[in-house]
Amino acid sequence: MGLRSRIKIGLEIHFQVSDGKLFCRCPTETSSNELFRFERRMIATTSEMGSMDRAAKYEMERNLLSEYVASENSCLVEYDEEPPHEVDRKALKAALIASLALNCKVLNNIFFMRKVVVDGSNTSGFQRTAIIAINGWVATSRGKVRISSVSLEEDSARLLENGDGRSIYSLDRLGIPLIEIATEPGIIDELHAVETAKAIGYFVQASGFSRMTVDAIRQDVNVSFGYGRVEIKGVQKLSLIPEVISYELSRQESLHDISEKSSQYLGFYREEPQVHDVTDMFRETGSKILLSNIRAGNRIYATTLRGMGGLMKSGKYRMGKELADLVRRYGIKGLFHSDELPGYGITQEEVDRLWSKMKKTDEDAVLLIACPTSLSEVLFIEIFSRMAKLLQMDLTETRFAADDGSTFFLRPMPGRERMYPETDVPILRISDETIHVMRNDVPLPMEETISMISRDYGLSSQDASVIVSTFRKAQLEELSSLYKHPKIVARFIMQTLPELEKKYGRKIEQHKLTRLFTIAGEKNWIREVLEKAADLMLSGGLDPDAVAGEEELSQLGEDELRNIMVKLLASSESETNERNIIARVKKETGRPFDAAQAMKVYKSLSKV
Amino acid sequence: MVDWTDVVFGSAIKFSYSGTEYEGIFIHCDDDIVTVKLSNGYNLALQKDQINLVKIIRKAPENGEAVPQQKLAKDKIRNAGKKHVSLLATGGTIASKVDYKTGAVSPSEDIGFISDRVKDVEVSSETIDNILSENITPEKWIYMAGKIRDSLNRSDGCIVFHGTDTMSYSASAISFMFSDQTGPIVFVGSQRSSDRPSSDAFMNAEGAIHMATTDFGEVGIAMHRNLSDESISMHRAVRSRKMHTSRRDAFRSIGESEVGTYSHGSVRLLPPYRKTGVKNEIKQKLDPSVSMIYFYPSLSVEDFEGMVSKKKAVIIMGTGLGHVSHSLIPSITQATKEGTKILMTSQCLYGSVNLNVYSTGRDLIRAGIIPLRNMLPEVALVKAMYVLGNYAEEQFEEMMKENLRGEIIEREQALVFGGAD
Ligand SMILES: [Zn+2]
Repeated sequence: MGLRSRIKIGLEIHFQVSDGKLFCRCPTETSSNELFRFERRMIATTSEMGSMDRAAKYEMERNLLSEYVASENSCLVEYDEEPPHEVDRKALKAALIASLALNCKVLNNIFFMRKVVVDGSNTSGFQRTAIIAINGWVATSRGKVRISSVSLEEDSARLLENGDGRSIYSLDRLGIPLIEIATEPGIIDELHAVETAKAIGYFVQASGFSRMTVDAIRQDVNVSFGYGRVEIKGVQKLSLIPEVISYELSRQESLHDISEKSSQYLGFYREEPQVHDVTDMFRETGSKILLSNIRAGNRIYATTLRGMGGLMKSGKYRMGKELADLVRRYGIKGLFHSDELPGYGITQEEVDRLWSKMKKTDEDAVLLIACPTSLSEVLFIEIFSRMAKLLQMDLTETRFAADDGSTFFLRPMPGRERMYPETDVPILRISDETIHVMRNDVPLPMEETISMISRDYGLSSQDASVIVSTFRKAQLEELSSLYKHPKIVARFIMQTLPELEKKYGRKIEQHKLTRLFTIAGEKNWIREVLEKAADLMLSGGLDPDAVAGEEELSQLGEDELRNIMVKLLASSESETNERNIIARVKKETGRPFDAAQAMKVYKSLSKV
Repeated sequence: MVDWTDVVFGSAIKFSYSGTEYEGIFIHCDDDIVTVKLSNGYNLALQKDQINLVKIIRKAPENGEAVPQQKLAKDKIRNAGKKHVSLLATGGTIASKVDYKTGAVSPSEDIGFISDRVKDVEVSSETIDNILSENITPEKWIYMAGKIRDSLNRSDGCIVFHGTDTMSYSASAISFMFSDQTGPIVFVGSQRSSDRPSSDAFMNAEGAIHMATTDFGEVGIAMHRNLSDESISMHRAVRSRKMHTSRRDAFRSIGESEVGTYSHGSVRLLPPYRKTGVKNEIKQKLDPSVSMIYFYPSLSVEDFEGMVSKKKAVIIMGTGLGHVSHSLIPSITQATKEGTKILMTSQCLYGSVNLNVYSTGRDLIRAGIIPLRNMLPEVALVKAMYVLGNYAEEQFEEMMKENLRGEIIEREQALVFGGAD
């Protein structure tokens, strides 16, 4: 296909830094306690260049109310009730070291900007961000990938709920430092993107201070196929990068076909689209969505989209989803189009009446939307302008990645109007000497680190390589310092823990893991006890201290092992032997035991 | 050869830095730093000796504006049959914006941002000053009072945009100067400048405008009621105080409840309050010969006398019930003998001074000090200026003790002590 050959990929990778927030001294970690709530309504304002950013304007027109849940790790700074304090020194240091590791030119003056974000994800209405370094590179097996910038910024508030014109955010994440690394669009393909992300990730993680939690690393993928840059935010896992890119490719191919097809029909521009209030046609409808909208005082609007027949949803054509994504951003769920009608409780008879009122021909599509009157004008303007933009193959926009690799429309691509200086933070001067000193802290290249880990912890080079490339080096170091069995730690973090977390569908938080290994070290647990403890923590949602006291966790003593085996030997119909004894003992007890010890007991028993 | 001095703000330029060429927009240049804006919006502040100007791609107009400023300002929104509120801007954060060249927040004349939000009231605006409120003076209060009177003569109410730092002083001064008024006078400020999407300016102004359409015949201060963009409190000027450096709800009514609230489009006033009258009457003299002394342990007699000398009146913020060190009593006695009025308020802010409880208090009374009950120190200061300016000397003590505008709480209730709700 033509589109694929024009692929250009760039990455923006965000790493959370764990040492407290960027502009106040609140900690990174917190309990789930809620202190209180407050509400804000953001207003988009004009930038230093005197114009309003289209992304900000778009968000403002949605005019959402934002509700904030104040967490224990938040203070007046997060509430936007106090100016920022000094920049966190450790976060700055981590960003500087990462910059040097990525061969960047560190700027001598760090200048914080306000990036306007009025969707409510920042209480201030902007995100503070500064470029730390520019113009670097990272080596990959397919050549150097250029790094355009390394930035230090504050993380946004965490979205808890969204709907009914109100978004609810937790402030626990707001203000956590993020190191953002942006590459030039010189990445060759999906696999190269994954490799590049890993190579960059290695250096940032190795620079220290990186946070080790589920959403601590987030990727934005910038991709274009010749029809404008699409920024896909929130790609949670590296493995999703190829899926996201291929989803976007097929979306753009489909839009390309839609664009050609609709222009054959003389197109969407033949006449100005008209919006009709058709509420009265649906007063007796069987459609639950329409009926509940009418009862809520909303109106039903219809418009004919000339030349769009069969392009809303049939085969690979999905213009309907493009529009549904858009209206959902306004909190509107009631959108139907002619390719899916009759359906959703709307009958053939209703459809026929509607088609004739809307003068729909086979070439046309009809759009039906239930929404409040106050929103209808802005909504239809957005719909028509989005359709026109897509049909002209101007595909530049910001999208968001869902967990399954599909993407949805988030907002128009922000322009430079979105940024203006953060006047509350003075310019930070970084002397050449500081930069020189920091060069000592730049991590070794990946291969050297792998052999070092392998040597220091007695791991196979394959295991060491997995530890390093999955960013678990710091975790291995920390946990091994608490529990001095690095091989068990390595096996635990690479295998046991991911399996258990998958089995129970929940995660053990970092501080609880640290506590678990502290106890394990103090009590000198064997591997089986450690694994059992993790199992109990996940199955019961318990704290390590609570688990440590559990009866189920106490290791079987020699006498207890012997008793079980005597019983087994006496009762088994089939023969108990050296090969199955361990499995049989496991079946008999829920408690952990040392397999080597059990074997010794077995041998002593079978000698008798 | 092009030079940085040839480039004007907003020009598109090509420059080289760290071996790479970039395009950007020129913002600012000083002795050793050149600030440029990249296409992604980031400003870079680069050392002048490391950056080379390659060429000017597109020169911005000489006035330094790359794009004409979006003019949101409207002198007047006409809403036939609606109440008419006049807006006087004096400066402050509520009418300030970022100066992108220096990076500082400075006053702005553009106050039109508010107009679009209020559709049910006709608003006309006038900029009468453009200062940060720490620079306010009694002369400016006199000018302000005249402007407010003129505005009230042609509208239903008046709101005053003012910096929050000294807003209680200004509003109190205006309150004393107006012995009668035909409409509400509502001071309003903001704690977050209006360039920020989270600014409280919009909501505060909206609340103030609606407060100004009521029959509240006093001077009030309208600001956020709590941390939410949900409701606005109006405080009686002479009982108001800025109690927090940065919070939106920095203003509090001290020792009494707020006098009004605004939320979801409607105002609720909480009586008692003076109703609007039939004419605008002002006594517009203020005598600035008043000083204020915050007593502290170790305050020397010499320093104290320095602050007292040549003043007609001195407001002391004493400790607790209204005390100062015994070492100062001879100086007080001497000063009052020479005709200087010395008045006592409390650093506690909440509660009344009472000079009858301890011997120090009784000695202070003998020294000729005038206790001001629960009057706030800053309010006492502007009230003394007002009384000195407009009344005979022998009326001074009586006028200071008389409750003119609600500056004294006659019956202090238990439940109004404390900060955040
Ligand atoms: Zn904080």
